[in-house]
Amino acid sequence: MVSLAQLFAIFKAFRWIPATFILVGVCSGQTNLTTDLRFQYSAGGSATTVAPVGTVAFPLAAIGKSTSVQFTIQNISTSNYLLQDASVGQGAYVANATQNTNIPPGGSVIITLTFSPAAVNAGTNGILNLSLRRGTDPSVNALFVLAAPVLVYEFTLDNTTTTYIGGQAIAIGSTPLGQARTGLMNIRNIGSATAQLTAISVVSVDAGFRLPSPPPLPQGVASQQTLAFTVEFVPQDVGVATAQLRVENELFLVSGTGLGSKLSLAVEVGGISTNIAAGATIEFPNTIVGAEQKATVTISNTGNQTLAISNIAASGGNFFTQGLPPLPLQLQPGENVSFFVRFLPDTLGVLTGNLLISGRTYVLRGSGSGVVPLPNVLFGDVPNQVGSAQQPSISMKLEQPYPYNLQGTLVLSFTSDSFVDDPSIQFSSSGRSVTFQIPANTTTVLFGQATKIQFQTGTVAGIITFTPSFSVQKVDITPGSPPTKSVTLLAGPPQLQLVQLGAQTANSFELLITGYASTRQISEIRLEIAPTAGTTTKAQSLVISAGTAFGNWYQTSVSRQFGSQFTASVTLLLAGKLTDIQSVSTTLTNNVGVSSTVVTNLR
Amino acid sequence: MKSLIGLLGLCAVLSLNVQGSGLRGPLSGYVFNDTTGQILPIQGIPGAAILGNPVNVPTPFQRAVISPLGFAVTISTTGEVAILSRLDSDEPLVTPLDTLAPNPDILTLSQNGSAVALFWKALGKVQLFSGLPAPPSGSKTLDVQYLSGEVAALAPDNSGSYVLAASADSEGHGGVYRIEDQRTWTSIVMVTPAIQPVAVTFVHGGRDALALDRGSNELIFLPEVLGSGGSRVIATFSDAPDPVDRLTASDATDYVLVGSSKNERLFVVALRDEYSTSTELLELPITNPLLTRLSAPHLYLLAGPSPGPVQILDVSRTPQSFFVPPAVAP
Repeated sequence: MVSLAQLFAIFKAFRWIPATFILVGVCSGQTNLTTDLRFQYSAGGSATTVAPVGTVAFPLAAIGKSTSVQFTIQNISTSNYLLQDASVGQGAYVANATQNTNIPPGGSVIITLTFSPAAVNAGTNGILNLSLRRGTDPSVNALFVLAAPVLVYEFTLDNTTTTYIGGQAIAIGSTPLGQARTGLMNIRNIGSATAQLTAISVVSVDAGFRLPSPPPLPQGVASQQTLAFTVEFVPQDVGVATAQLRVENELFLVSGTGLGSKLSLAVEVGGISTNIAAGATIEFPNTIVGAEQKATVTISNTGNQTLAISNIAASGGNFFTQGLPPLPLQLQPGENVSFFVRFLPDTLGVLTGNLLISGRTYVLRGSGSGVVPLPNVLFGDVPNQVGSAQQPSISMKLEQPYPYNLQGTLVLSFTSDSFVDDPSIQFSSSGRSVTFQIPANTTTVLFGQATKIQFQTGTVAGIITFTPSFSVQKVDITPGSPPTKSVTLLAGPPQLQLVQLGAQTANSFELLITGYASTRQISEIRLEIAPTAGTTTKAQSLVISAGTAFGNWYQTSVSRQFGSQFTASVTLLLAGKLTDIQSVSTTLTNNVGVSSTVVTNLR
Repeated sequence: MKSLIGLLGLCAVLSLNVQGSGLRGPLSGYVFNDTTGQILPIQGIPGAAILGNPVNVPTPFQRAVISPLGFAVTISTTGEVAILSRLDSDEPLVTPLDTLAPNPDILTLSQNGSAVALFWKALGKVQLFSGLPAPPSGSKTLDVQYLSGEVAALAPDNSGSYVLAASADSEGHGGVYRIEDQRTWTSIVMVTPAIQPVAVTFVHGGRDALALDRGSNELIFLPEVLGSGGSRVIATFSDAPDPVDRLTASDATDYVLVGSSKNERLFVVALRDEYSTSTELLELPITNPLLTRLSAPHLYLLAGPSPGPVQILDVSRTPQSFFVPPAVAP
């Protein structure tokens, strides 16, 4: 209820009606408004009864928006009343036209009062002046104070305050990802009535806006008082983010910009392009083992700051990068760069790996879905039979080209006729196995860069067998019955390599006989002594039964290091002079035959 | 090694007595691995040989030359020179040599491997030890500081009495010199002039010699090096893509091997007699052939064992190269 003094002050402020007129209206002796008429107003809800000079309270108003109340004059007397005029003067209040409206007993008239605050500094007080006359009585006036809470919104950002009205957009500015930016919202009640606030909230569409310390509600904000709270923006993503700030029925579109680079990944594989989120999986189509699928990976900077890429790598053993840009790389906003990720399955089944791009990980996944069978294998160069102590070569080729790179191992094994292995049987690359490759779409086996590889045949009769195995990547594609090549080293008579003169004395000399016997058996040594011409010495033959000595030798573990090779020391004791002997011819015999003869000159 | 013993007279075989095994595995020679500092045997004959386990010594060597007589002259990592004998035993014998200084610049054996010449460029002296592998009772020192030019190669004679030195200066004035100890002084006799002699070797039991002139790409025959001397060009390698600088010869064969450290071509010079030669070109499986003589008289080391595999050349018949793989358990 407004006091009389307050009302007077209002009248003065409005310079609208003389104060004496107020007194007349209120103190008429003929008409009793308070008993004849009932005054009520409603803002859409229940009606409130108000007596003259009382206050009509409008709902919460805002600059630029209208609020209204329905003001009802009900005639509860038995006399006719005439509403001669209803005015609100000059200001933000408006009353609809109701001049000379008869109000019969029991009847009523409704006046629509509208409040439209147009500006922050405009007045918010008003007077409803009703001119009424009962029958022929003189007119009387009934005055009512019009009052409304009006909120204005002052948002302070970086020490700059801007006043907003409902529905306006509030820009909170930009800040790097993860860093908070705050503004202070100050709600000022410039109206003449207390504003009851029951709802203040922020609805963040893009996440990132919040009210870190929302004011307790409901809360009344008295006329000319303020209520302040902070609006905080912590961008979760680069670019513009928006939210709705609500104060009662007022909505403000709040926006901010997150600053930062943003790596966006697009992958094109098999003609299909897909955008890949961080941590998502890049799928490759099923791929034959040995074949390759290539994906084009495009990195785009969809952010608003420079994107630094320090490293790009694929892991997992079956995935490889290709055509990488020079690193480190600075990708400006809107720029992109592409490279390849190759999928080369090395085995069957699902295979996974990771694509790492400057700390971001993407899963790579594909399947090795099968292998191409191996064509027939052909052996070349090596004969079916070889001699001892030889170093022939062997080569291999495929009957048809294989579409993918092949790797393999050629293994040499030896089956000895005498049940004793010969360690000298080896490839030139050392050992009894050698790796090889067959480039895709070719047929020739490559041992390193060579198309053939040498091996030693050794000195022991037996069969040398070559067995290759083939694999495409890690998948063994060697047929169940692998191709083999057997080479026979036939048993033969002893072979003399070298017969040297060893230690000599006046009446003796040593023959060092070096050779081999592929059967690991020698029965006798035959020496033919040729005398020096001009001496009386006769030619002589000496047959040494050597079966036991060689039998013992070939039983030793030392002899096995040499296959069937030996150096035999034969010392000849002379009754005469050494100078009487011109030469010695040596032959060896075993169960297969007799060796060729080696002549050693002593002169 | 015990031997198979045959006893015979001049007219008739008196008896035959075979004792013990008298048998061992053939050995083609030893090679020095300058990467590991180890000496390794080549077990077996060419075409069926493997590289055996290293000779059992406690520390590796800086350098070593292997004598055809089955011992090595070694230089330790600290520069001491020693004879390493009994290479095939578990406990090889080390006999230090009393040398003028450690770390000789040139270490070279005589044709039969019983003498060794050591040369120190800084001292201008050659030291000769003979009668190896027996511990030498002394040595001869030859003063070569007044020899014109720089010594490129030495060849001691088998008795260790003198050396042939190939020497040349930077202006292409050089020659092959016979350098001999005369008790109180050293005699230096030019055997033949040459532009840039880089190798010299004895042939024919030490009677004659051969020198290789890198400057003229010629092989020079030096008959009777102790006698009247003289020289004669017996082969010219004018077609060689690179100057020849490797030379070796063996009394066991008539072959003289001439090669280049720059390529894989080997010239096999058949030395039928001192007037008749023929030259055959052999393409080797390696470049820069070592041409180091092995124990067997007809075998030469071409390469290895480091960094590549061992390759040997057998000239007992038509010259042929063989690889020698390391021993691998079957």
